[in-house]
Amino acid sequence: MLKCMTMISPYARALAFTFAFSFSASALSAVPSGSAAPDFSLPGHDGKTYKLSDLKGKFVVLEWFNNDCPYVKKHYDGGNMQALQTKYSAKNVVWLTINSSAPGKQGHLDEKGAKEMVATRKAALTAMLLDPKGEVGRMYDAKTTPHMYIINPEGKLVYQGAIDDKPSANAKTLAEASPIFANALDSAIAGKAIAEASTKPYGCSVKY
Amino acid sequence: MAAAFRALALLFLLHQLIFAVDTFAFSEHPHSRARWIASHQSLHGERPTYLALHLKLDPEWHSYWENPGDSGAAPILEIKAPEGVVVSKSLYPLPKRIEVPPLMTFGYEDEVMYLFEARLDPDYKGKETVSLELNAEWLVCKVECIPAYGTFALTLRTDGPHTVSADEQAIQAVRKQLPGSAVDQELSVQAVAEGEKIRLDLKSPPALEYLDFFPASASHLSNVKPELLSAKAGETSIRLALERPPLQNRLQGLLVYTDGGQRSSIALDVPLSSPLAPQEDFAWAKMLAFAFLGGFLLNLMPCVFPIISIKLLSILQHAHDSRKLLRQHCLAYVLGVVSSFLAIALFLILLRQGGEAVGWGFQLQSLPFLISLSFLFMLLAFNFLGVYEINLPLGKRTAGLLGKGGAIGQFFTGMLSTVVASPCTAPFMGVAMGTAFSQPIPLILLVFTALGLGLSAPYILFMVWPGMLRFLPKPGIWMESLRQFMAFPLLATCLWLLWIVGQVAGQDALVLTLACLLVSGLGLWIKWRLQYSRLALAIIALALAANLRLLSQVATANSSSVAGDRTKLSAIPWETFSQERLKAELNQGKAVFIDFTADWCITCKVNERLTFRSAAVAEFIARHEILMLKADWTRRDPEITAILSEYQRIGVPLYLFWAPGSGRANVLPEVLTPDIFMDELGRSLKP
Repeated sequence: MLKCMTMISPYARALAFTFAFSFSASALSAVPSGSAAPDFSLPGHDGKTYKLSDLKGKFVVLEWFNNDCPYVKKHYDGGNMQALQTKYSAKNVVWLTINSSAPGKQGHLDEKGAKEMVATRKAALTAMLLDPKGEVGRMYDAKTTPHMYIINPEGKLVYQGAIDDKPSANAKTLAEASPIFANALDSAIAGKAIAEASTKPYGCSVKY
Repeated sequence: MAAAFRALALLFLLHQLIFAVDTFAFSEHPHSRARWIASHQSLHGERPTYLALHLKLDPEWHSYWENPGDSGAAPILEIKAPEGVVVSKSLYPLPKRIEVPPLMTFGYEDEVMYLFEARLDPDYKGKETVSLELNAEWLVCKVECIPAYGTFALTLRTDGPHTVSADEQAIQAVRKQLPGSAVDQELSVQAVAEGEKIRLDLKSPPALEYLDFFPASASHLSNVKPELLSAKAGETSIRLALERPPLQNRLQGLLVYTDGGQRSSIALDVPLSSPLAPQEDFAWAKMLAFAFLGGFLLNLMPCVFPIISIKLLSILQHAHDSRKLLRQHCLAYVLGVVSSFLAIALFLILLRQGGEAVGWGFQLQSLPFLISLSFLFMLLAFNFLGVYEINLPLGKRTAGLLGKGGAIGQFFTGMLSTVVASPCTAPFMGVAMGTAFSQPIPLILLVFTALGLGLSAPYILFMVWPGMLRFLPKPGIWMESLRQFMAFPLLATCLWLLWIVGQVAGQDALVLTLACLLVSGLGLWIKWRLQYSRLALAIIALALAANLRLLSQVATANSSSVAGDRTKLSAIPWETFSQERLKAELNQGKAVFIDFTADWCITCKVNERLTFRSAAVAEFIARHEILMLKADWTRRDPEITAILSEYQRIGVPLYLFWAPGSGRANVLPEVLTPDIFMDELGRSLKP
């Protein structure tokens, strides 16, 4: 009897196993990770125009920014964001910080304001882009500040989501946070698979 | 120096005291005021004391739920409590949607209390007063967001009466907004993955009116309001969109409803099932192949093998002359088996569609069925032994049936084989059947067809290649010996059924059943020896009827006492499962394991013997302080059926484990060894 049972059990397990479905990766955000990053062209703080499709061949980081958001402050006041910008600029990564705050809304910047902002924040970014109509923000479904995106040299969006795993405005949390975004970028540069290509971002809402 | 230090300490103590009293007033923060309060002036070992971070928000400002939605942040609340004080995770009252187009958030306006449930350890040996400290960060937003920070302390007594505080009523009012459980509200939920969306089918008492669904953060679901597919009284279907992949294997969130007046919620945490997508053809084929294989293996079961092998031999013996006849009879038999499997499948589908909570193996929870089967097996065994002959088409001397009308006889033999096979099929097939029943109806029917074909595979073989007859030994006296020998596996099955009768209904019922079997044996002898067929039949029928009648009385009298004893048998301190107990223990952050078992479930019994009697496992359980609960499904129990169906099982075994503080159960494989058990639990226990 026991023998029969051991004969049947693998069958039952295998049967159960066949029901366990694996879901093919399929995203529902505006731009699913793994698909082509939509092209855009925006003016920068330096008066130049930046077109995403011109940057093919390089890794591109998009960072949504609102200087008055406490979560953005957490990453800028202590120099955490600047350190990331410096580190990856040295690795030939194009770092685009995007401001999608509408005129009159919190954190809105014009070209002059953005230029001053880059200087006072000592930001080591390639450019701060101005998206006052929120078109690029909506295109990428940017929800929070900060909200991080990584585009690979082939022009594919490979990561979108949080900068780290501590949804707090408290700077003390930086030390113990797991740097999800930096890990993803390191993996992408090393040609390895990114652990989680889409995570839940945290922060203030983008002020469209 | 020492004196100065002492003075400082005293000053600090004084400050603490004043601070403790002060905490009941609100402290000021940007756009919010906060205080840290308790429902009672003391902590208690059994009765909970509720702690609350009470926020009052400026008009138009809001704070957030556990899932803040597209932006914002849940409060970060860290409690420092002395040893011996057990505090739950934060409990969130029902939030509302706060839309900031194009974004959707969940939170609270005006006022909110984030609650905690606190208790003393039963063997608390600490101080008479304890200080519970809260380190809090909460975000308040209008359009712009401002984080607030606060450190609070609350002093509570640990002795004396459990006296309510001034805030008790306000806290109790908030407690009423905490989500309820699906079981309490008699809600049944099915979550089905449909490509990149999830369909949620809700069945509830008609008075509950669906309002909304708020996904938990862990679900990866879109925060926009779900699409309402259909809504009629008691039945609602909604469709949820995925926010970011991958789709999780469980669906968690809050179901918001109204029962006429109050807006309330139910916390859902259900596994996701998948209908078959077109690309799953291979899985279909594999599943059917396994079903066929499983059906074939059933031929080797002690209650099936004797009947089927004897039957097959008898057909073959009489069909030596005519291959056409042989084919016809085999085909009839195969059809009989397959159609009865389909009938069973349809019966179960209908019952389940009608909301009846049955599983495969349910028939073994029924006393009349058990007793009738044990009678049947005894009669068959007597027949095999040659005590009597009946004209059922089971014996070798039923040559007449192979003539005219024989095919119909074979058809019914096929059906009978399925019925007598069921005590052996049920315990083994339970798990696989459970999985099959989460599939669409056509597939369930296909799986059962494949099972039937598997069970009748030997016949199919002879049907297709009658030439194989050559390889069988010539009929002879050995067949008579084999037939007699086969009576013993049948009697063993009978013994096993009687053991279940004893477990289900107690010792008196068992003896009563045995007595009736004895009388029936006498009846058989009367027929065989004295040739009074009618008298014999009457005696057997009377015995069976009397048995069932008397049993219904004995069984009810015994049922409660039997259940009480059965958890005490092994070295592991098993306790009896109840939904309430489970909830209470989980709220206290205990590690909990549940063994869903039944006496008629052989897989369960083998697991219990191999795993739960192992000293290493007992030691492991003691070391990790795991509460072991046993849910016994030997008799029907709606509470257990409810939780089984929550995990998409229609039968046992099922093993669930909750690591301390984890809201989700880890489902263990249904075949356990000490290593599998300890590995699985060890993995969940690691942070």
